[in-house]
Amino acid sequence: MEPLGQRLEDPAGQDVPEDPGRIRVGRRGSDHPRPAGAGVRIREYLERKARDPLSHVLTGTALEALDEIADLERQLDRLEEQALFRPEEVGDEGGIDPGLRGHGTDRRTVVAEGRELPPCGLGDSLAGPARTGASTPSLDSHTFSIFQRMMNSEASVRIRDLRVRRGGRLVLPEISLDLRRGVVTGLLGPSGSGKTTLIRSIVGVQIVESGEVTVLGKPAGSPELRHVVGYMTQAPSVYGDLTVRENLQYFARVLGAGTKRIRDAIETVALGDHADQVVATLSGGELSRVSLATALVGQPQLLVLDEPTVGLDPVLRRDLWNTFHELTATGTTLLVSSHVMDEAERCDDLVLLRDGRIVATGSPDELRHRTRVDDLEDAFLALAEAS
Amino acid sequence: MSPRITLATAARVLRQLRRDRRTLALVLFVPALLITLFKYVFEGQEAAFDRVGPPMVGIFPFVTMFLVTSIAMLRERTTGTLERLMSMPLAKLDLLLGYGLAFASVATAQASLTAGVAFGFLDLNAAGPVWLIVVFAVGNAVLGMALGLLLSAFARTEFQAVQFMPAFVLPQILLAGLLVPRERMARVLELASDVLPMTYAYDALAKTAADDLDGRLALDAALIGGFIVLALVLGATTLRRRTA
Repeated sequence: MEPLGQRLEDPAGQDVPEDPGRIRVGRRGSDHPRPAGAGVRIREYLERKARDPLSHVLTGTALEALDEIADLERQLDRLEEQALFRPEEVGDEGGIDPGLRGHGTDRRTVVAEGRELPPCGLGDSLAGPARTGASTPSLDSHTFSIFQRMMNSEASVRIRDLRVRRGGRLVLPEISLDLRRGVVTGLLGPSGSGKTTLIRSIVGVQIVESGEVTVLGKPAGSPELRHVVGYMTQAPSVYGDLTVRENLQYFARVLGAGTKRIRDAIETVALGDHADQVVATLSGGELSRVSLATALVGQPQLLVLDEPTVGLDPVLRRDLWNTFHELTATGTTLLVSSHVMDEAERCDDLVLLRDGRIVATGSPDELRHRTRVDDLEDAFLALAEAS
Repeated sequence: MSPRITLATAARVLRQLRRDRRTLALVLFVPALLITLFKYVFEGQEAAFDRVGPPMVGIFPFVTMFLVTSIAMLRERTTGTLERLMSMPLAKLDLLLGYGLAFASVATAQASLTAGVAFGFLDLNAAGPVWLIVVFAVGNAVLGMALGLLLSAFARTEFQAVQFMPAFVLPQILLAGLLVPRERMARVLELASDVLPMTYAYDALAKTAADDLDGRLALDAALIGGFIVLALVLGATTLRRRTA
């Protein structure tokens, strides 16, 4: 975690390690300095206190809170910049913040339940009305959306300065990224852009050169995470000589999941009619659905899917995307990679990857706003060319 | 490590094998057919058949399980199921013991069947107890499995894995003393055979057949166990949670 003091002292400097995943639009330079003194002094005090073994627990929490405030400030900065630099855009829609968009009635649940609890259950009663229709670009709505962002910023996955070499090639030079909890993040990019390598790093099966990947508060690949992270590889990794059901039975037993989960997983991927068919005799699309069912069977908190919908018919594809969003309603975080742009529309957040670098992150609406185009593919092109 | 996962893995491996009926039939019946062939090749030379027969009963499972395991493990590596398992709460020992249990039970069936045919129908004679020959046969099967698992890490394709049979197993059979007693071989070869696991596997079988149930036999058994553990430990290091 980078120190807050530095951020505050150097609010507009080029070298601030400011959420490099986020693209900046209309940076205004240094005419908007933030007062440096207080934050630094508080942090110094807390850091001193943190060395005291008796109070370190308390101050640790306070330091985290300071980090969140810093996060909030950065987002405030960004939104102000957008507003001042391109005022005409802010009015289009209240939805600068992806948190206000469609899918999620569950977005506020994480906050309501506190950070230690798994974000499930209480959600619906606490969630406010969907605010898709809001259209006043008042400071209030800004503040509100920032607040929401901050509260949701309890990231499921936190990546800092990740550098990965794969097969002798530097695939990811330096990536930093946060994945919000309880949403579907789409990882988009042409093939060879590093999607699978990034995914493997998150799941913890990739040897990384440097950097940190934290998943649900633990270093990626920690033994505790093996129960709660579901992973679907790009090539269907199931046993071809077993039936669909036998495959799921085995993986369910490894994960300690019950028979009901097996049935549910088979239903979800619509393979009920083929449950007792040997996997090797299935078609390509069916095969990848078995692989997907295997990732679903353990009821993971983080579900990482590498191109799960390739070769599926449109109806099933739509159904699966609905399933993905249903899963987020129980607090599951999803990361779904795709090289098909029309899937981007179905994601809450997007990460556009190209040549191992993050070109942009944000909701589909946000990206359209930034690039002033309606089509996400065009938006991607614009962002890729600008980068 | 958890018994639930170990047993689930063993059951899964057996189920895969059961689904492949032809492989299962080859594993179970080919040794019995070959030993029958031997019987008629050694027609009229009962002493020679009695010398070669018992070790054959015990060495077939080694060869079979070596091959089957190296291919099965290679498949786990290349199809991504190993990567998936390694991202799940499965201990490496669960996988190793699961494979061990599954193949040991197949080897028990194979060795019992071969021994039954050889001693029951082909008039093979052994001075020592037949059950002990079967026990060593199963031990050899586990040894073959452990070595196959280890060597599968060094094969990229199934073609390569199959070639490990002549490359690693045949020399051991040649040097084990089955064809020429070890003390009559060149000194270098004798020394080489001292460090090869098959040497002790063969020695144990030959001693049991001759009813030499002495301390040397116990040492053989201990060494076979040691080789199994060594191969499994080395094999475990080739099962990587993280890969490049």
